[in-house]
This record gives sequence, structure tokens and C-alpha cells, in this order.
Amino acid sequence: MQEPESRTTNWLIMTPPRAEFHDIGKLIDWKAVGLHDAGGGEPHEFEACLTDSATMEQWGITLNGPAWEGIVRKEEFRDLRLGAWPGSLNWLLTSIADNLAAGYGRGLKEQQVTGTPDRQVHCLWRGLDTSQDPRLKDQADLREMINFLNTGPSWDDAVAKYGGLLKDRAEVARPGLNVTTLLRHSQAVGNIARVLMQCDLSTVSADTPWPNAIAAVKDTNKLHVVHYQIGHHQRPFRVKDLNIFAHIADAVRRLTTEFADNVLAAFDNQLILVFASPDDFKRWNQRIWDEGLFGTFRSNEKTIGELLSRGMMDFEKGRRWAFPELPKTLSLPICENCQMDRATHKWPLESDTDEPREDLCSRCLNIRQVATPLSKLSDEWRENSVAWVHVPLSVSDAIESLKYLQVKYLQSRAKNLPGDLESQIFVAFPLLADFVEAYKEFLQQFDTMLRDTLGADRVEERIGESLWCVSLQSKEEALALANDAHTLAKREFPAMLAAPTPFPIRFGISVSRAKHPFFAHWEQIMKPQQEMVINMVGSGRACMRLADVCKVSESVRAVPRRAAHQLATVARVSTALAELSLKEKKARSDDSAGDMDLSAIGRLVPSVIDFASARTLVAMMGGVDGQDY
Amino acid sequence: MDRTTETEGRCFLRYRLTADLLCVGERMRASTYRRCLEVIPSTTLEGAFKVAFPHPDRVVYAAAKFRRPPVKEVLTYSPRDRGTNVSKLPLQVEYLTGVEADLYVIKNDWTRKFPSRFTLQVGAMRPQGFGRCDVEFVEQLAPANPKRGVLALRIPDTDAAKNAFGVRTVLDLRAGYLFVPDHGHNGHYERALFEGSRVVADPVVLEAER
Repeated sequence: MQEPESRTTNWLIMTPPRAEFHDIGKLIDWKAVGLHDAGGGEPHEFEACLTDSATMEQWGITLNGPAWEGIVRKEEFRDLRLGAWPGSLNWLLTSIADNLAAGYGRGLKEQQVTGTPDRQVHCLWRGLDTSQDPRLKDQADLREMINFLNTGPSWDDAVAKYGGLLKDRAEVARPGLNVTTLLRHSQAVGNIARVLMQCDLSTVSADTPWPNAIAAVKDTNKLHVVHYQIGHHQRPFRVKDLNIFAHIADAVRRLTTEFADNVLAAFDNQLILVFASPDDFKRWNQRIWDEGLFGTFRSNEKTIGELLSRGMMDFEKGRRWAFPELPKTLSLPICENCQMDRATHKWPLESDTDEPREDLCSRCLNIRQVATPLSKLSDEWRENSVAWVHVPLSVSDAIESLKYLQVKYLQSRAKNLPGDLESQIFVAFPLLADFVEAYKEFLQQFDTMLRDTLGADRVEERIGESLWCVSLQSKEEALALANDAHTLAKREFPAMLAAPTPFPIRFGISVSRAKHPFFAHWEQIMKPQQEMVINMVGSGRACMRLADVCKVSESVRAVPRRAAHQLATVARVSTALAELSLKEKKARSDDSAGDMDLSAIGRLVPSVIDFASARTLVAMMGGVDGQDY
Repeated sequence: MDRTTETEGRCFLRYRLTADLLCVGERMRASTYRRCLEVIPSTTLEGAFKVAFPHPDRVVYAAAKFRRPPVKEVLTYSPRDRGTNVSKLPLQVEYLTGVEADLYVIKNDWTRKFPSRFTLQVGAMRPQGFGRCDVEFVEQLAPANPKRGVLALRIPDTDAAKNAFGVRTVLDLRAGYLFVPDHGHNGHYERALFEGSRVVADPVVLEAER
């Protein structure tokens, strides 16, 4: 990671805080190393090693470098930090960032959450502890850490050395609150502290008492937290147009480096951003537009004080657009691909070809020209049926689901909780960040599952972080794919899948012949409206909850082919008649129906799936297409 | 000079529009695929009214909103070269079926003379039988104050169009381009406000509140 540069405010030159290190002492078992305090408490800011200069010398602490500055931020270290970093306000930035990135539990009193501390992480979406107490227990480990901190390491160095422990250690050890990793919390604190450097801190000084300092700045400074989604104007038509997804991934990488502190999380085409300056958000949008892209976003712009009480993930409901200023008119021809710029090139570039010609702007031409070949899709699969599979994450559903699971877990572990817990609790950013990492790992596992199940020759090269194209031997395989997705999700997120809240990882599967334009599929699977959407081009769409996929799949397979074919044929003439026919067969459901027995699928309508979904699935199993696309 | 707006306020005439087959096309892709929009741009209706009710100076500002989500299908069609009578590359065309929409036409001294029932030819593929819309008058709407909402269709980003539809403020812009024919067979693309933009405008151009 690039080291942030020093910045000048109008009153002070500040070395950017390395606030990530503030809680690294939580990796030490202070009791085991013999340094617990008189009350049996566990000092995690190295208090027992910093009592006086003799003790510091005994432990070899030099306070050399910004890593220590994040650790010695509290009021009891005031003299120490004024001596080592005179004039610096990094202790304040770290403290505010620490509170902003803290879980809901900061607001709860000790008496409300009593019991043996749980230092391992409880994974809400799995419903179990995923680690054991990872703390280092030897004095030699403590000395090694102190020596490491003395070298003034970067956070990347710390993750390389202690990353596994940081991931296994809960940020908060109180029972019921151990749901976030220390790793995500620490990283968030680092980013936020550096963004806070943009705030107006002119009313405080290095020796302002700690609570007074926070009070002085929290209501006069705002932060703008943004859930941002990057969109593209292009409507991919040819295989090479799919390079737009690689272009978006490259743009995200570039912007994550350029706005390293502002980007709290990046996954697929989505980011969680934080800005202290409106100009920085404008600059962000301008860079998005420079890449030929646009954005939609949800905002949470509040004072620091308001964010401290309601959390950073409390976004407004509607999405807003971030579109560039466009020229008032464009003369002909317009680019066929993006329809946002004048076409200045013809494709194919060679004029002596029978291929249909297209008009393209220079940006769309460039996307095609630099595209990595997708040889299976462009050559080998030309006559095949394919399925486009998109697995996006709904952040709002993730927040809702995590909140539900957090409440249930807290209620199971703590007593004397506030009566209005469900309305007061909020999902802190680091918890969402942990889940986002789990989502990204899931995408990798999904990729592996596809290649293991179908064989590598039936899975195209990865097109986007959450987008695949696979070759199908029959259209019914789409249902098998849906089953496999459910099985994997159940293995990785069992508690979340069992919860009554919507499952936030969506699946969109769209099936047609390989030649059918991608943009027609993308309209159906870009934002799946249900947890599992199976679109059969020319036949219809089936939507269902992910938890119901197995039940639906078994029922559809139990429908005799003859019955499926007849229902699909009737539906092509009259939807109402077909629906009536299904209801009538459901009501009858006796053994005499034989190979016309539709009761298996009839039972699912409308409580599990609607008629349109049943019709689509039955048509698929009956080998009936609307038209063959 | 038309003083309808001054005397009656900006009001709209509401019609019911129905069509069996409608193709509101975008620019064709590689001459082989025509995508169909799921909104009807105001310029498309403007063109249809120009044909149905020609006038040298008058522009009919009209907006249409589907009463229920339209069903989209695809037709594969092989046009023939007239000279050689040989099939060209097959053309795939998206179209909407069973269209039912509310059509709002701004009332002025010209549009008040329209009959209560008429036919419009809307969109692309008209020689092939697409686009025939039956229009029937329903009611005159009372003047309404502009309000905040989400734009339900596409309108040119021009003062004339924004005035006609009562667009006072654009709060959150989703932009693009609409084709505007010039005299003859030429034309150009004009910047437009697209559906999804948040505006303060006459309710006829806004999505229904959920």
C-alpha cells in the first residue's frame, strides 16, 4: 500500500495517522504474560509497559514512529504523547475513527453484557464461532511485537505478520458482541482517521482534554458515507464488448489506489466510500466519468455526532445518479454500443468482410480492441445453449440480515438489554466489511464449484468478479445450477439462509443460444428481483427464494413430461386457461392423474412460486420453448 | 396566439392508448438486432402526432405511461433485398405486446380540436404491421402543481419540452440522447432527461408513487 503523504491544514502540518495499530495490543493475552492490572483487567494499550520511562526501557519501547501514536491516544497517556508528538492531533483522529468504526456495543453498559469474555469471533452468517482465542501468551511474543512496532512498520507489514491473528480476534470481547474481526475494525479506523484530517479541527489543540476535544468537533464536522455502484452505458452485443466488465474492474483498482483512504470496501462494481470534503466526492465522480462510466449512489451525510449514535451504514432509501455533463447535441451517427457519444469508427476495421458493420465511438472501439479473447463463447460454443450466471450482493439486504442475526445472537448471550434493542441496534461498517469478504470468498468457491461440476471446458474465462458464462447440454441444467448454488450458499451461510430476512446474495441465471445478445440477458440478471431468478429467453422467467430451490426443483422433476408439455402448450394459447388447469389438477391430486399429474408443481403455486414461474419451469422440463433463442 | 395555458392553466387531455404490437426502437445493433425500449419517449409521440395531425408550426407535447408492465417478445424476421429478392441477414426485433397505456396530451387551441378517437402509428417497423395504436379520449385533467417525483419517460432537455411538461427543477439527472429528425431524412441527437431522473414536474410525467 502506498504511504499517505503529509498534509497541511491551515493550522498544522500533520503526519497522517497510522491509526490501524491502535488495538494491536488486543492480540496479547496480558494476564498470561503477567501484566493484568490490579483489578484483574486486561490493558490492551500496553498500559502496564508504559507506566514510566524505566518500565518502557525495561520492555524496550522507544515510541518510535506513527504506529505507537495510534496506541497511546487516551487521556492517561497525555504527557507521553505531548512529549513524543508535540502538537499532533492524531490521537483525536484515531479516537473519533475508533468510535465511528466500533460496533453497537460501545453504547451498552458493562452491567448489560456480563459474562466470560469471548475473544474469538462469532460468525453471524454461519451461526457459530469460527476461531478460538488467538492471543499471544508469552512475554517473548510481547517483546517481539514491541520490537516490531519500534521499526515504524506499515499496516501491510502488520497484516503480513499478524493477519491471521487479527482475523481470529474479535474487536469486542464482551459476550454477544464478538461478531466483528479486529482486522476489519483496525483497517476501517486507519482509513477513517486519515479522511478525518480534512475536518476543521481549529477549535482543539494537542493538549485539549480528550472528551472536550471530541465534543468540540463532532457537531461541527460532517462526513459523507456513500454506497456507490459503478454503471456502464454500453450494451454488450459482441463477445468482445464483454470487456467492459474487465474495464470496470481495472477502473476500481485504479480508483482504490488513488482514493486509498476514502475507499472503505470494494467488491465487484460496488464500493463503500467516506469523504470529509465535498470536493473530494466531486473529484471521485469526475474520475468515474473520465473512465467512461457513471455512478449511482446512496448517501449517509451527517455530522460526526449523528454518525456516532446511528452508525455509518444508515443510508437514505433512494439511489441517486452521478452523470456527467453531456454535450447538448450530437450529430449522426451515434455510437451503437453506448449511444452516448458520436461514432467515429466502423467495426470490423477491415472493410472487405461480410460481417455486418457497426458504428462505434473511440471508447467502445478501444474496449473491443483490448479485449481478452473469450474463445469458447466466440468460436466453440456458437451453436450451444449457454447460461449467463450473475451473483451480485444486495448491500441493503445484507445490512438487514446482519442486524436480525446480531439481535438474535445478542439476546442469546446477554442480559438486561435495552427494551428498544431492535430499533436502536445498528450494523457497524466493519461487520459489513467482514461479510463482504465472506461474499468475495464465496464467489471464488462458486467459480471452483462450476469448474468442478461442469468441467473447465464448459466454463468460459471469468468475465467479471460475479459474472460467468457456462455451456449447457440441456436447458434443464439451469435448474441443476440453481441447486448447486443453493447447496453452496447453505454450506457457507447456513444461519443467514435460515433467517426470515431476504438472503442478500442474489442469483440470476439466463439461458439462450450463445448468439443471443448479451445485453438482453443483462437486463434480466443485472439486479435479480428475487433471491433466485432463472430466465429462459423466449419462454419466461422463474423467481423463487433461494431456500425453496430444492423443493421447487424436486417438484418440477416429479412432473411427468407429457403433463409438462400439455400445460406449456395450453399456456401458449391462454395463460388464464393454463392457470385454471393447474389449479384444478392441484385440487384433484389423486392417483388417477397418472402421467398428467401436475399436483407436485400445483402445490407450490402461489405460496412458493407464482404461476408464471411454474409455467416457465414446466416448459423447460417439457422441452417446450416459446421460440428457440 | 394560443392562450389556453394562460386562461385554463397547463392542463392535459388524458387518452387510453392500446396496441397489439409496438416497437419503440433504439439504434439497430450491427444491422441485425433492434432492441425495444420499455418507455415511450415524448419525441416518438411527437413524430406520430406530426403524421396523424400535420401542422407546419405546431408541436404536440405528449407523454405515455404504461398501465401495466409490457410483455416483451422477440421476432426473427428475414427481410429480402428488393433488387435481388435474396434474403438478407435475419433480423431480430424486440417488441411489446398487449400494450395499454395512459396518453397525456397538453391541451392548447390545436389539440383541443383532436377527435375523441383516432389512430397513431408509433415507433419502428410500421410497414411490417407494428405500431398501430388506438387512442380514445377519457377526460381532461385539472391543472396540477408540479411536484417532486421520478420521471417516467424520456423528454428532450430543451426549454420548450421542459416548460410543456412543467419540469421546474432537475434534482438528480439521468441523461442520454433522443433522435430528433431534421427536415428531409436527416436528424441529430438531442440531450434528454431519461426515466429515473428525479425532478419537480407535472404529475403526468412522473412515476406513480409506491
